[in-house]
Amino acid sequence: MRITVQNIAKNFSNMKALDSVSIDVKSGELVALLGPSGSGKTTLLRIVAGLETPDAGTVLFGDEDASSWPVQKRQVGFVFQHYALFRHMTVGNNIAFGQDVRPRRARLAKSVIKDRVRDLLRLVQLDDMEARYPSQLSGGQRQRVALARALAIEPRVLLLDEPFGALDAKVRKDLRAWLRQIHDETGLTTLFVTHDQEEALELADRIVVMNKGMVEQVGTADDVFDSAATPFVQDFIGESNKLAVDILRGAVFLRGQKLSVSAGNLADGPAILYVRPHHLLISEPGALAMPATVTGIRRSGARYRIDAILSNGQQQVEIECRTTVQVSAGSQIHLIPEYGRVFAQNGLGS
Amino acid sequence: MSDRPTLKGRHASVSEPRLVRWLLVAIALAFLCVSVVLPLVSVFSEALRNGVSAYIDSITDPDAISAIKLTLLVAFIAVPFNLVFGVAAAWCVSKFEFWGKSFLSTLIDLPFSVSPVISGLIYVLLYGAHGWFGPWLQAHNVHIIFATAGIVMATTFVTFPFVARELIPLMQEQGSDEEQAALSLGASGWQTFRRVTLPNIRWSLLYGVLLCNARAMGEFGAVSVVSGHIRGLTNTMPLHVEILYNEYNFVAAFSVASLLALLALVTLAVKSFLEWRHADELAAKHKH
Amino acid sequence: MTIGRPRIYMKSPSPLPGFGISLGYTLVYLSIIVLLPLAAVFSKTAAMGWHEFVAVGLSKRAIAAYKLTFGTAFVAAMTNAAFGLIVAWVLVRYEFWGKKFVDALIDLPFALPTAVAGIALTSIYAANGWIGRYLEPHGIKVAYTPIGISIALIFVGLPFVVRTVEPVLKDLGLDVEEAAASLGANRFATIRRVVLPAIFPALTTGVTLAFARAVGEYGSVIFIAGNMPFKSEIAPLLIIVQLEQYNYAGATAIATVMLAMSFFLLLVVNMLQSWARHRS
Repeated sequence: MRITVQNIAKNFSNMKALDSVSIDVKSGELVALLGPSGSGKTTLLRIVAGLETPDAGTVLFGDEDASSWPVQKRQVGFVFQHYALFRHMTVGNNIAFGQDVRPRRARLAKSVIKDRVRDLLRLVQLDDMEARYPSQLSGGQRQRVALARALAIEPRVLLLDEPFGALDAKVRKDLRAWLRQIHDETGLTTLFVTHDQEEALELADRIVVMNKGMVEQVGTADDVFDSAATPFVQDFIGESNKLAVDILRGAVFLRGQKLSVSAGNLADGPAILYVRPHHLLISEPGALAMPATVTGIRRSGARYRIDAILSNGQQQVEIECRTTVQVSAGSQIHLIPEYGRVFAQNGLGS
Repeated sequence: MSDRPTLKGRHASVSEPRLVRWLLVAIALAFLCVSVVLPLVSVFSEALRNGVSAYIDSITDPDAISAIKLTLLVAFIAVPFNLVFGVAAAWCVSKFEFWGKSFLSTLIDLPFSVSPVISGLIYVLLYGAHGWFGPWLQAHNVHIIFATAGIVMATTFVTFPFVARELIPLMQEQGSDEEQAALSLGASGWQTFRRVTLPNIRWSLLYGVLLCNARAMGEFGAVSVVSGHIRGLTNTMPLHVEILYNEYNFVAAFSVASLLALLALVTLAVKSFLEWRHADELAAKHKH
Repeated sequence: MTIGRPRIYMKSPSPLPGFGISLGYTLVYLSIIVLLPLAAVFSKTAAMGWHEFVAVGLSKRAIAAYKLTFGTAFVAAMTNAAFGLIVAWVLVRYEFWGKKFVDALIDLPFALPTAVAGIALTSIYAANGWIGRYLEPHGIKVAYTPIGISIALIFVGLPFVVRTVEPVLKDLGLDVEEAAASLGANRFATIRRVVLPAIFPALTTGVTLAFARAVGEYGSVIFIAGNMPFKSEIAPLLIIVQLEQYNYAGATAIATVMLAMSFFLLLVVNMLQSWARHRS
């Protein structure tokens, strides 16, 4: 089912939570809403679910205007951040709940519901947990029960609010791959909220980057990582060195020294160059290389990180490289920015 | 919080010397003995002073029986009223944000801070012969003051906040995530309340009802003002105790009183049992 | 755009149903049972002339009753502050045999009908009672004196102090005390400068609640009070006396003075609680 959100606005007691947001989720797509806390991503998800009422705008399910449908009618599988499992019901009863509360004529037969619960438990790999209570499960298991419960109503779309937010790193990674697998098996249109960029980049077909109630960029992982549309996206996703530069006739200058990156069609004037640490290459001295002094070297996992100060303008940079080069604190090096994004100071991209 | 130091096996740096501990426990126990245990024991001891048969005679006396019946009737009416109110009030106060919410909470607590005598007086001023509605009621031959209706009303006022007070902190703590999940799974409002909310608050609700009932059956001041003390007609158990006591019929007075004391003990026993079995489902902080 | 919910009254709309009906029912029931009857008192007082109000509400006998009521309630509240604190401390911090039983017992004054407590305390402290017989020879009269009233009020107020202090004491992490100890504070200094300030708001709240309850208390007091005008007649009893003389105006005047005090105390409690919230 295709989900279209058009010009949604929402205020909370004089604070703008969403400001005319429009997004389009294609049928069968897995889309992440990514942004810092307070960016409005959870509010948007809850509006799609019908748990929150927007001040303006429409929500379309397929071609139907669902804006005025109550949450019960929307038939969305919503997975809550803290799972919201019914603590007084067993795992089996939690999953069967959505079927049990249907009016008698729409309800499946008891035995069918039972089979459905079994199937779902198998799908979420909790086969023998049917009689347990939520309090007897681990965080990851609860998460999976919450997902099974949402799937049991045969939802049109699956909505997940920070699905892995409350889990520890190892479990997160496992569940991430598993969620992707479930999505591919069920083919459900899925929208999930996260503040963890790694999660969004790895999992989603497309990512909606949000900030202060507005959509900054919509695109694939490659789009948002390599071709950030705004300084916010560039800054929020991945790490970047920020260098104050000047644009002159399409070329980028650092304190008068021409650099190897393109300024695109930016107008002349001051600008900011964003270079990821792994895009700063140590090279031989040359016209396009920036001289710098090493201030420290750290090991970071399989790689090394070098802190340096550019001789032109004393700006601090961080370099990531695969092998140890023959440098030590105090040595002089030369750096070439292999790739970078330049934004004018008013935020317009190159 | 497992890495926090626990109370058991704590280090000497944050404990008192054994003598001090022993002394404090002794003081606490002695104080409770004199101020709480002794009165309780004396009720039963005085009631059985003349033996079991005198005790049985006192509580099977026709006036005592009619007092017991009236007390049960009053509680039977007042408690369900306050039960429904308590659930409705707790639902709107704990699940929604609205203007004037804290003021409403204060109003719900109001009867706690009003003297029981005044609680009775206000109904006399409304429905008594010289009250607002008095002349109209007299013209239509409706009796509220010095009748069962007045006793029920005064009792309802006094026990008004008990259920709501028990539920509000618990329901606030539980939040509304589970209710929202139920709605998203297609449950109607009533289904959500009956199948998700109610099971989560049942033990707290039961305790609130028990406490409400204990107070309803034991209320003295308010009922004393509106009842008129008509023996066999408008005498509740506490009022019957007063009359017997003032007639120096101590054994009979304490016998009827012992029934009320038993009710209090049962209430406390059930409370302790609920706290022991369902600690997580009861609100941690009880306010009265 | 969606279902017509009374959004104006709500700060943030909730997807949960039943707001209108539960709030409506609450307000109607509250008005009928509590607000309307209370309004009757104030309307009756307002209809009374100032002169008439003062004649009974502030008569010498009434003022003596107020003094006695507030005085004994104050003594009881202070006694409960001291002993209630010790009881709460012992219940939270120490393990001893029968602790569960003691804990359950604290709530007895909540559950025991006041009239039962009244006659029981009277029989204990009467000249031939279990305790009275040992006090009488030393010239200490408890029953039918203000001391007796205070003892009844101590019984009634005890749970308020214990049950308000207990949860705060439980929540108070031991790590704070360990920190104080590690910084060189001895046990006494730790308790005085770390523990007591932390539980002070709760203790004051509990004591104020106990005091407020004691001021209005009737059932447990009248049996042990003696009820002599100017000497051992509490204010709630004075209301009854006026009613028995069919002096509704007089009863209302005294009730108004007491209600004003109660509302003031309620305000104090609310302020204390918000103070405690701000500190934690």
